[in-house]
Amino acid sequence: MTQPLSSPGSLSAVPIIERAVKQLSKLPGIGPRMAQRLTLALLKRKKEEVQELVDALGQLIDGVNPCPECGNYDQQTPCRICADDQRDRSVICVVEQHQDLIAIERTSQYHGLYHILGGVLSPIDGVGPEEIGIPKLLRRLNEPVREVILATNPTIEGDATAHYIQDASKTLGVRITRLARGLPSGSDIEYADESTLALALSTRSELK
Amino acid sequence: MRLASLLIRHFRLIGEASLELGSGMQLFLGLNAQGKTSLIEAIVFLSTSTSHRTHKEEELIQWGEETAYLRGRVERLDGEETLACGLEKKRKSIKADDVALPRVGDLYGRLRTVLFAPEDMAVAAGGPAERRRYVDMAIAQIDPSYIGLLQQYRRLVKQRNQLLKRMQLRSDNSAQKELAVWDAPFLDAAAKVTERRGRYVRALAPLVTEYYGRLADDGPCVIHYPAAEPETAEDIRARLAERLERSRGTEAERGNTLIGPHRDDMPCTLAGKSLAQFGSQGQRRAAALSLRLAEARAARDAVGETPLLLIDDVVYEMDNTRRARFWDSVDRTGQLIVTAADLGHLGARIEPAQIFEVNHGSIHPAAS
Ligand SMILES: [Zn+2]
Repeated sequence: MTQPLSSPGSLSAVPIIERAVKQLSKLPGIGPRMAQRLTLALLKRKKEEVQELVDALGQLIDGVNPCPECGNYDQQTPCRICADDQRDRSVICVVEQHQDLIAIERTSQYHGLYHILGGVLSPIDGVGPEEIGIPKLLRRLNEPVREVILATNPTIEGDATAHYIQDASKTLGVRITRLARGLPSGSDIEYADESTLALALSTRSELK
Repeated sequence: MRLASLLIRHFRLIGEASLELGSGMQLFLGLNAQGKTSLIEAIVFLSTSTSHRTHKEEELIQWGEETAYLRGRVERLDGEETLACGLEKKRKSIKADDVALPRVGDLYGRLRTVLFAPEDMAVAAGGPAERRRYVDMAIAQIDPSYIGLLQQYRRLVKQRNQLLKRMQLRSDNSAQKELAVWDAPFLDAAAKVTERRGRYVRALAPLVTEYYGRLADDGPCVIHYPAAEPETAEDIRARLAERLERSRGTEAERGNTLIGPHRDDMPCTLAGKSLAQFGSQGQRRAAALSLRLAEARAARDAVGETPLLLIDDVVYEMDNTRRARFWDSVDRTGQLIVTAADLGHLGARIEPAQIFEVNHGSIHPAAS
């Protein structure tokens, strides 16, 4: 059993420390206690080392921007994927997050362009089509695009988002595909959770 | 299925108790407010990570303590397992053989229990929500994948409701367009939940009638689920889709999803009359007990193993004839956890395998 959390302010009443703790604790996965530990660790470091971090963060906000075409982060605009003439400009893969783009790039199987939504439709979180830039995506589809691959996550919201894009782009004459779903490779059927297994069964394919 | 040992720490009235439990009837004797119901609630919590008495989990932690802890060794046909639940004010952790279970649903089916409790009398004759909960929990214990389905369905209802609320406030064209993408998955999930419940209620219904007949002579007692009358998920979906179309206007007016399994009832009738409207106290009790007896049998039929029966002081208010008829109906081949203020309250011919005394939040084997 863990002990009850002490409030982040109780470490010290030093306003500058508190400010750093507060800012750090806004980051994903970092609670008030972790923010406190990080702040103390930074204080213990050599000044030059911390300056290095400050510089890196400064460069990050000045030097990296979302690509105006696809939303990918890069130092150049448009991003190097959009700027690459080796890539197939007639295919757009729609993903929820930047991480998904990285994961798909890692497979080296895909050579088209991307579109990063930055989220999924979720009325209870106040996220509608505007918030995730679907109008902008639809404008991109007016260019000579042959296929849109919907690579949103197989969650309720990811599915609804894919469905919405599909409905909205029906009149544009673009081929719409969805990533196949199934068991993660290298995993045991025994350990797959029920919904993955059920999905894998219902989307099973003929052996060729 | 057997709970072979149980450790309880700072749970409700119980400060600390460490018990070795055998097969057959384990009887816990004690006056009121000594910890008998706390014990039952602890086992329910270890089985489902919910309480049958409160939604506020911090109430389960003993007054003045920071954490509660439960650990039980379970023996099932498919092997042994140690389940542990740690409970803090805003957090709980559940483990099976020291491995954390990330989702609440992962706990289900590991320790299957059927609860007979005085609080439960509303199950047959109370509101529809009571019966939905009864059926959902019963299915979840024999088919844990049902929980994921149910959660998915609830989330879809919430998403739809949010859009309907927007439509309620102003005639919102964009919300209408968005709603369309939630309708199909909503109907899919609604049909699946209804179909699963329907299958369960169809297996349960004859057992309910049978057990009521064993307890009382004024039956037949019948439970049915009208929404699942078309038996296949496709037929149910088609009917739901029709009803959804018809309720569109009202939905937008009220800002709420008005059809689907979250609104359904599985009404109980006695000799053709609504139990909720016309049932006497005694009839309601007998019906509630029949539902639980039927649940235990249905669980045994489904998984081939008798669930653990938790019988919390329910025979106290019955006369001797009813008590005898109740005990004759209870499957005593498995393990039973029974509580009473006095051995004499159980009725004649009851021979517990082991007796414990519950006193001021402590539990000890009775001196023989
Ligand atoms: Zn780009």
